[in-house]
Amino acid sequence: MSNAIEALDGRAERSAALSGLHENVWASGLIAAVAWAAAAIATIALPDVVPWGSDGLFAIIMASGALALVVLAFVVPRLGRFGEGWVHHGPWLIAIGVWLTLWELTTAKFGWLPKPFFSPPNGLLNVYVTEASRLLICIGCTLRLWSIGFASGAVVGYALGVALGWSKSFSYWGMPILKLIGPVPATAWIPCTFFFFPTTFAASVFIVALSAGIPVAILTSSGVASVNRAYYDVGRNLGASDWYLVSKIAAPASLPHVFVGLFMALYCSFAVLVVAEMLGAKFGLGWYIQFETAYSGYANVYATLVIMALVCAGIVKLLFVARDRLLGWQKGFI
Amino acid sequence: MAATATALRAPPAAARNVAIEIRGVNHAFELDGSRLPVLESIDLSVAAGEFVALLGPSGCGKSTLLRLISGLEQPTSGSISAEGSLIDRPDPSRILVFQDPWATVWNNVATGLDARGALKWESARVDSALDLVGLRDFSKAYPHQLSGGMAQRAALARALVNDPTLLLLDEPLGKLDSLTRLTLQEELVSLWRREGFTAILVTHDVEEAVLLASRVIVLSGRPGRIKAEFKVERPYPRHRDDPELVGLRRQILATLGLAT
Repeated sequence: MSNAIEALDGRAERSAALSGLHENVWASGLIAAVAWAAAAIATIALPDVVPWGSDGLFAIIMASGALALVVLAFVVPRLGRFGEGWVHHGPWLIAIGVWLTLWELTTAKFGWLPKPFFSPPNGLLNVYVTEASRLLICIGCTLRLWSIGFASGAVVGYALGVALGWSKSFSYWGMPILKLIGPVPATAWIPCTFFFFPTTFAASVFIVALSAGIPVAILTSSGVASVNRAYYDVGRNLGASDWYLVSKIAAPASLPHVFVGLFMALYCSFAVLVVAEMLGAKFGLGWYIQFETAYSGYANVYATLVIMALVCAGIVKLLFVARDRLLGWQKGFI
Repeated sequence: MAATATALRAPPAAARNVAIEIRGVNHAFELDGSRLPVLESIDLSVAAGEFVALLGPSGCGKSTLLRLISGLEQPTSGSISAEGSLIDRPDPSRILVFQDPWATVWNNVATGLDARGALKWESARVDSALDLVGLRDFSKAYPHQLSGGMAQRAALARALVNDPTLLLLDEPLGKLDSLTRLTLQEELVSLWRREGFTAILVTHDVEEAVLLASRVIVLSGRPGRIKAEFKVERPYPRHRDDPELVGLRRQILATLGLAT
């Protein structure tokens, strides 16, 4: 009996070691605090090869992070479920601290990765500090362009996809055209768009919509075409009209494919944002990236890329939430 | 619209079941340009309110015959009529029971009423159909939350909510475990006796056929032809160990070439 209890204790200890919890101290938190403090000290204590600005602010942020981690290391074991999240992400917090320290050392301090091609973390921070208002306007402009373009592209692509998957004659004419247009890069449309659209903004929206609409159309049509034939038989047997079969059976049943199309559309449309904002835009993240590239402002470029990555990741997350809400019933089928 | 509503609410007693006449039906599939005959000179009369079981080796065209009777497909030649009128399209009064549920049980069962635009004033019938098959408590469940037996009950409710005069059952209990199967066999018989519809059941299971049906039709291998016919005249509820049924079962198996 006591052996069994000892064995259980042993297992509990081992699992505690794995999750970084030792006798009411969150060890990973302490290690992370050391890594973050190292980044702060490296930034302050060592001389810069070339000055980048905002090094003081960066050191303060990292040092406060380190301090917070020390406090958390003692608080987290008493937090219960909320603490589990911290314990789970502990290794990542350590990695971030180590990564930032090495990044700071190789760029600003030792100059192995030289200016202007590389920037230390405080260089990016400096961009956010000095360019904050302009970047905020750019984020707003880009989100406006992207959301109008993506939404209209997705809606038109979905409608086209349902028609292509449902109607034989529509697919006979539409599919070859779609397959021809699909691989053409969005940039190729710029000359036509200048002619067809009244404003450059409308032309940009069209390019984003096109890049988002094509994957949605292709995947929706394959989704509609691959719906279980028995569903249609059930519908017809129960007296459903063709419109009912399309709108209430084919369209919802193809949603898993549609969401794959939407995810592809999301990445495609983000990739063409930069191109779309070449068309005479005055603000926007893509425009800003080109503008700064032209002036070798690579720190600004990196800083903007980080923002774009974060925005894109946020939208992906939203799309996942929407998918899980809508497709709950298909669990077990997909 | 109002007339339709009353018609749906109170179907006339005479329309509770329907007689089916199958005359000289041949059916063939086109496969890669060649003709594959599946049914040959089928003549069969099903009386109103009768429970007929179709037995036969796999691939003999039993399921195809059900699709033809439902009107989802047209026979290559010959005619199928219900109460004298030719079946040339599917109709909610003749329902082929599929086991492919989607959406929640309630919404799935409501499909027929929704498709005909009658759901608004007929939604109570969805609940009573669910009561009929004992699924009321699972009306919000999704397909993956249902057991095989429940999914089958949901499929039955989806058919029954339309007040069918003819129920076409294509191996409805084939995928179930044996205990659930026994329960559902009893439920199927009591539903049929209570509701009074005409039923045509395709099955592989000889015991199931003699237990449920008032007449068993044995088809030959492809192309399917009617090989033999057995009347089962035992009263319901029946017991599977009833010696007369056991004897009949042996006889049918012999017809299928399976018993010694």
